[in-house]
Amino acid sequence: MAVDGDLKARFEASALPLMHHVYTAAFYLTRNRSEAEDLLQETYLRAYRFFHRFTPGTNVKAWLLTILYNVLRNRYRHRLAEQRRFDFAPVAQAYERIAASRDSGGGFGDAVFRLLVDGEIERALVNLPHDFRAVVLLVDVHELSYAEAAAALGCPVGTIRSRLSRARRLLQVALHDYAREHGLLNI
Amino acid sequence: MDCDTYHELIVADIDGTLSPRERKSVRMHLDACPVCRNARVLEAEFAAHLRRGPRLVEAPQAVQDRLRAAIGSATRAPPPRRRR
Ligand SMILES: [Zn+2]
Repeated sequence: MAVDGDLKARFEASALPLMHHVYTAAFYLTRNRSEAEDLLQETYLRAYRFFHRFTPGTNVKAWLLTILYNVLRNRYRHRLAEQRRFDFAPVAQAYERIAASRDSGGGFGDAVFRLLVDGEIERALVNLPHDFRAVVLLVDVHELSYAEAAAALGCPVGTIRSRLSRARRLLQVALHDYAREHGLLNI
Repeated sequence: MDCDTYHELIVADIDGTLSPRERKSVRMHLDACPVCRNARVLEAEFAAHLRRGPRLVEAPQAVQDRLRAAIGSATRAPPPRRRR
């Protein structure tokens, strides 16, 4: 009982403050507030139940996000499978055009990006296909290492690398399109 | 390796996760490939922006409170099955 009370105190001190991370990931992954609330709840209850399996000294955030992703995968297996097919070739071409135009001012630069940052990057992230969104969330938003992200998603580190490379290109192409449509870039 | 594969290594390099051997391979490719040199600049800028990018979304206060209460009253052992 004393041990259990101690575990509860440790859980409350280390895991509860990370609620916003878990909720953010849940929200971006489901694109739906009530589903995100539900996932948050289930993730934390499960995490609490299995907290004795957590290795002290390792990354609690990564551990919680791993549980979140397992819960998500169990619930939405079918929905996730539908989103797997995705043709990257047009994105790669659009990105190459941006890279090629860089010398004539095709990059974002700080000023343009500051204009974009309010909401637009969030929208671009929400619109990414699921697998790419998941990797950007874990690595760029929640700052997991590639190895931690791979463990959370149950895939090899090489998959994290390739998805991240594509996801960052997808985001830049989307932001570039947006910036051009709104006259922030004249390329 | 083609430029598509090098893009993965360029991104991983910016994120500081490459082995010394991979870094050397990227450096040699960049010396020879102007397209990837441009991509490297774009990715370095973008990675810096991303770090300041998407903000965390706060769970509604009521949801946080409910969760705290649930944890507070939860037992860690699996609950005994109820019989009807
Ligand atoms: Zn190249």
